[in-house]
Amino acid sequence: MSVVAALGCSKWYGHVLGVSDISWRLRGGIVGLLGPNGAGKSTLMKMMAGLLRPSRGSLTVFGQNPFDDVAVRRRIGYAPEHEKTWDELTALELVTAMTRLAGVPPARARAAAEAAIEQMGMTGAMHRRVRGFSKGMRQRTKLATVIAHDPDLLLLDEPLTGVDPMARIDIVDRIRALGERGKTIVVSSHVLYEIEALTSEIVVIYRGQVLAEGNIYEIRRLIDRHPHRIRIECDRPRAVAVALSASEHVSRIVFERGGLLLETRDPDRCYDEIAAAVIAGGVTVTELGSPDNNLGAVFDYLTGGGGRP
Amino acid sequence: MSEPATSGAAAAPETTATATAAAAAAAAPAPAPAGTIYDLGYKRYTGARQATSTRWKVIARNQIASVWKTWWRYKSALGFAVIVTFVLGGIMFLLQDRLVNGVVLPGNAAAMLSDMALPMSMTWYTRAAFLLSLTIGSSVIARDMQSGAFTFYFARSVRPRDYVLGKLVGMIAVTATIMLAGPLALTIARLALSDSVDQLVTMLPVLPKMLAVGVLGTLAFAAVPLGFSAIIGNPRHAMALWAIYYLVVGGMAYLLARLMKNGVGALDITMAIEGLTYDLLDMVQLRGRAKRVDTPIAVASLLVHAAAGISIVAYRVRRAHLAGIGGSS
Amino acid sequence: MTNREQGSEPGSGSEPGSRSDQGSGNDRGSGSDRGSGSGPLIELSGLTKRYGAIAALSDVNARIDGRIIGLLGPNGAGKSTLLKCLLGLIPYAGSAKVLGLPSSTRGAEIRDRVGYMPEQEAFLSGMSAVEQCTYAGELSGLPRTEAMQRAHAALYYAGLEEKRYQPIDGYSTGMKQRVKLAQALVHDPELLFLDEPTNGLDPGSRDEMLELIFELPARRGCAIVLSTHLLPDVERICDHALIMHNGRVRFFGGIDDLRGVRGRDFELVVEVKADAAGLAAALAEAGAACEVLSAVGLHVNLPASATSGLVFERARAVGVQIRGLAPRRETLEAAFLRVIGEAAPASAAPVAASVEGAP
Repeated sequence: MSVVAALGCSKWYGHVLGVSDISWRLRGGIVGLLGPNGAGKSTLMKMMAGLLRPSRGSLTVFGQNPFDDVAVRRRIGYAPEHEKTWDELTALELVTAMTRLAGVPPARARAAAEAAIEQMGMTGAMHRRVRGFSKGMRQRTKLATVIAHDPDLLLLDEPLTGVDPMARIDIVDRIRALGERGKTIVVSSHVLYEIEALTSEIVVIYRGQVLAEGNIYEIRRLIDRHPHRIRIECDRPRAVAVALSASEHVSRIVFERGGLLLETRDPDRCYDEIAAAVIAGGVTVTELGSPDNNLGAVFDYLTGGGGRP
Repeated sequence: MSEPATSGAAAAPETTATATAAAAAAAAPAPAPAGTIYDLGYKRYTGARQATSTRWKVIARNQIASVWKTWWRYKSALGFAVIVTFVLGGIMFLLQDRLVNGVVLPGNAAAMLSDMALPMSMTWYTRAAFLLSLTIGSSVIARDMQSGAFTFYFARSVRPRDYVLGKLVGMIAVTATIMLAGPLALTIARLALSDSVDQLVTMLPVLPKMLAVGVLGTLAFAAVPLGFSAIIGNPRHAMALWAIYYLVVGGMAYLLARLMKNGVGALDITMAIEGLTYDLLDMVQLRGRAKRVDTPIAVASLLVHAAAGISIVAYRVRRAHLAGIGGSS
Repeated sequence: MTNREQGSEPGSGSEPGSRSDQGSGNDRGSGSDRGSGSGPLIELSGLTKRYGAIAALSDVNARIDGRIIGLLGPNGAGKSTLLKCLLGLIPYAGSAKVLGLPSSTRGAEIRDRVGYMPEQEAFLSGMSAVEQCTYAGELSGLPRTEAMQRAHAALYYAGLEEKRYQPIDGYSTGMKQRVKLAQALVHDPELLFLDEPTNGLDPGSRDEMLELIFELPARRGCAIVLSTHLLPDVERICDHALIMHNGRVRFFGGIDDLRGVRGRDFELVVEVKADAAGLAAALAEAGAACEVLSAVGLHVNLPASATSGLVFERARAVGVQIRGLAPRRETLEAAFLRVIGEAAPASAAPVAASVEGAP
């Protein structure tokens, strides 16, 4: 059974469109949820968390409707992007309170909270008031509240905003550890390299609909419209260009300082030909690579973003 | 192109300058087509920068402009004051009419009523000023605090004192259009409507007295709400607090004054202003509504109120002006 | 790898891409005419700031100069305090000079010549973008008409041509960030402090914002200090880095210096389609020291006098397709952590992810 199954699911707020006719299945693992601002990511997350009811269609989590079904909500942990916490409480008090709100009986709540705090590496600070926490510690506390009741599905909205590089690595590790323990995790973020560090599976929401889903590199392969680009930096770019221009797989060669950039629709064959050209010409290559094969480029091509290709 | 010129010149050496000129004109090439692209590039600012001490003027101007821009908040209060002026002025004018004077009202009543219009107007002007302070004055600084405007101001060459002065002057100017201009206009109207030059001269001292009350009233109604707007960072809460102070505390002071018949009534700003006006003009309020508030107490009350307001603003701004600069870490 | 163009043609589309070998990268914004004397942008000497018993800044010494300088450091490192000291907003011990002016005595002047783009919202309610920027210019000492003209120019630059007359309250996050940038530019500053300028922006807008920032030194003749937690942004557009930790400066210099200059071409990281182990074995026979990272990635240390051609030859010999080859360079993240003094966890690098996931 899929963890999340949406079927013809739409959500409007009056005239404002949230999501439109989404049919999608989430099977498990860590998934990155991407999309431009206003595309519908938060709406989708809130529907998965059971905070919103679809205007049309259905969205089920573990087979149940999370808006109505309290039992299935206990298996979900949602960490929204902006959260006002009670700064007066200590971390432990806050997590314990949220754990009890999530339905864990009072007797076990405190122990569960402590375990979650330990998992997030906050044990040393758990008796300090949240008010004095840095952003990194707040994010970790938020994560602790979300995992304390041991949910099977985690929904994290921008869990790494404002977090310094050291804490970022730490939190990414902890999220990955949670994924390895079998939890399904949906992470939404604008910072694509954070997503890349977590997973290769993504879902792209664009204009209220699911535009693409699956493995980043597979999706890249499918984007026909934009041929693959390969950069070669070497000591004799012209010689390489001459050799490669004979190839039918190369569709464009552009000279840049120090090297060349070529476009191809068949990267596989192209790499072989590049190797042949390099060897034949005795060229010394300083750098070879594809500036394309990353999430940023994929996202750009899919959403036609204003950034550079 | 030079050939014809040379041949022309060589062929007729004794030709006059005309020929040479004509040849020269023929020799000059027709102007080539021209085009220009202007460099729209960036120009650095090399002019002088205004001294830091003038920042408050910019802030004051901006405060006045933003108040004027509001749809209904300022204009409703102003409109109210204008109506008051016209109504009372109209009444005064009507009372001048001989017919009314001698016939409808006995003896001196008309003149007395006419005189009465001035202090009565003060009551109404304070209402207009309160309306203005409620809708605008008591949320000015709170709104700045809430929207992050402090970062906007103080990351620039604006010092807390410039900000406070600018806001204060701005609000004083705005409040003055009601609390000073109104009484002034009415007083001038009263003077203009006097029966004779002698009467005018006798009544002349009324003008500075009304001005004085107007100034004190303006000060109070500008500075005190501003103080409340600085106490809390939430505009609505600040408004509520000001309203509570003015209406509730003021009301209680009024009641206490009736009961205890002493100067505690001065705590109510309205009472202080009203009492001051009646006192200065040597008049008794109609129906002796409230115990007269002694002039010195009234003046002191208004000044203390204003000073307290300004101090609160200065203190709060000084405390909070660095918030938000430098970010969260 | 393109060298970053330093020309000043409008819209020259200089690529803020990769690092160029600039040696020590010490050119103070060539192509950007700063005209503020020849001293460094910021000069700190013995700068100390205590809040009670806690030292937010401890004896900081640095001569900071450059085109776009990344200001990095964990939370609580003292970045915010440093900024307040540089703007002359708080008292401190020691000396801090910005653009040659001491900030303790001439703070207001400095603030007239320095622009600040804050992290959080800093708007006046009820005003349009144009009004706000004009006001900002006037508050920095410009006469009114000058401020108005420059406000429009700044908003054009920031890309807010169409919406600039509408009240800011209705703007989206991206637009608000742009207004913040315009506000910081309107008074023709020589130095800009940008605090997390890409906060809350979606990837497309983030690219645009970084592009705008990158072009500023050439187009506006100002230097930039960029304070952010996002190291890829720093890698992308900064030429220098200032790293702070616990109230001290741990590093200041060129990004290339931080990561190790690209001089060691014999240390390579290679990406293949498949069978990295096979290639490693073949290369080992030829005298290269290899370390297999994954099924598709490996580190190669070439023997003396060999070139990268060796890798291609060996690969062809064993039927392995080379998909990527580059000099091994520390990621900025690893360098940053090294400077801060903690070991980089093995699982950190996104580099590993891309190598593993490549088709």
